[in-house]
Amino acid sequence: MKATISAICILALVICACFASTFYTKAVCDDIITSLNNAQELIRNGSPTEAEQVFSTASEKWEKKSNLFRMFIEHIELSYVDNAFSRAKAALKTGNMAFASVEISLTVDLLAKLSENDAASFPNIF
Amino acid sequence: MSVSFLRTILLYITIVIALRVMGKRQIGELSPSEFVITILTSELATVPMQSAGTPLIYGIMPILTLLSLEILISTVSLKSRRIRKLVAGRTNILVENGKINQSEMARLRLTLDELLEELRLKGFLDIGKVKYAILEANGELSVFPFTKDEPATKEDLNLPVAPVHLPKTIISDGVIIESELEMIDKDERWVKEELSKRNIKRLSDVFLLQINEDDELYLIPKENQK
Repeated sequence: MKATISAICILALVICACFASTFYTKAVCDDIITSLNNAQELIRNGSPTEAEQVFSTASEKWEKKSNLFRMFIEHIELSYVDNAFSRAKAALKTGNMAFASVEISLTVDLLAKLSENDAASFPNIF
Repeated sequence: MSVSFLRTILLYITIVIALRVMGKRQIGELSPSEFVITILTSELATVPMQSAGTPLIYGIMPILTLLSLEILISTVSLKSRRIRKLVAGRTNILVENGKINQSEMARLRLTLDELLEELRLKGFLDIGKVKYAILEANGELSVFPFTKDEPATKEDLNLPVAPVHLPKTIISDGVIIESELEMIDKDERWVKEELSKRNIKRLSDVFLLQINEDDELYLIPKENQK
């Protein structure tokens, strides 16, 4: 009986951890994606300084959260997002706004994929 | 490198705990579900052990899930005969009264050569002497001869049968086992006296000291190791 209760507890813990990690990833990615979309909007409206500020806030947020993501997401997937952030940052610094906008779009796509891949959806399971 | 080292230790501990919880069974005695879990567990641990880019949780979580499922399935199997049959399989009678059950062998895709080999391994050369040959759920073949061919026992021959008692180990590798000593109502002083009678001065010079039900001591002194 003790073993059965322990097994049920472990299973419940595993299921909770799986769903918690999925929801957390989605919440963080959605938050950063919103910030990046705002930065892109600012670039389009001709406010590069403000765009850079919004972008750097999003970048800091990513750096903080990615340490936790390392515990449950493949490191290679995280490094793709890291690289995209670095490229977008460099483009913003050099003032190449068209290129920066493209790189931010790519980062948004990668972040969206990250949360999509972690979701317990039918296509992901099969 | 150190990451790989620490991951290996963590995964090793997880697997040892998982297998310990599953119970003391030899590979040959595992049921199909336990066998699958044993193989899967070792495979699951390999990837995060070798690849530092894969989170450790990718190895630990499936192992814990398998362990929980195994415990739950074995609990359900205990209660339900139908589920037990489904998970562990059932026994199959391959030979009955010296006659091979061919349809059962075909169903199990077991060749005659395999059956004869198993019978030889059990010491049976002639199928005619086999009353029952049963393929157990764990894959072992149990073979029973006709009663007339069974070896005679002490009871059949009316020989006296002495009861078997487990001897108590008093000293193991130079260390007194207090719990065993208490069971025979003796103390350390008695042990030392017995040892001095046998020209042994120190406990550390004793490799094994046992006492049987007739209070006879069995002593093995330690060999001098260089």
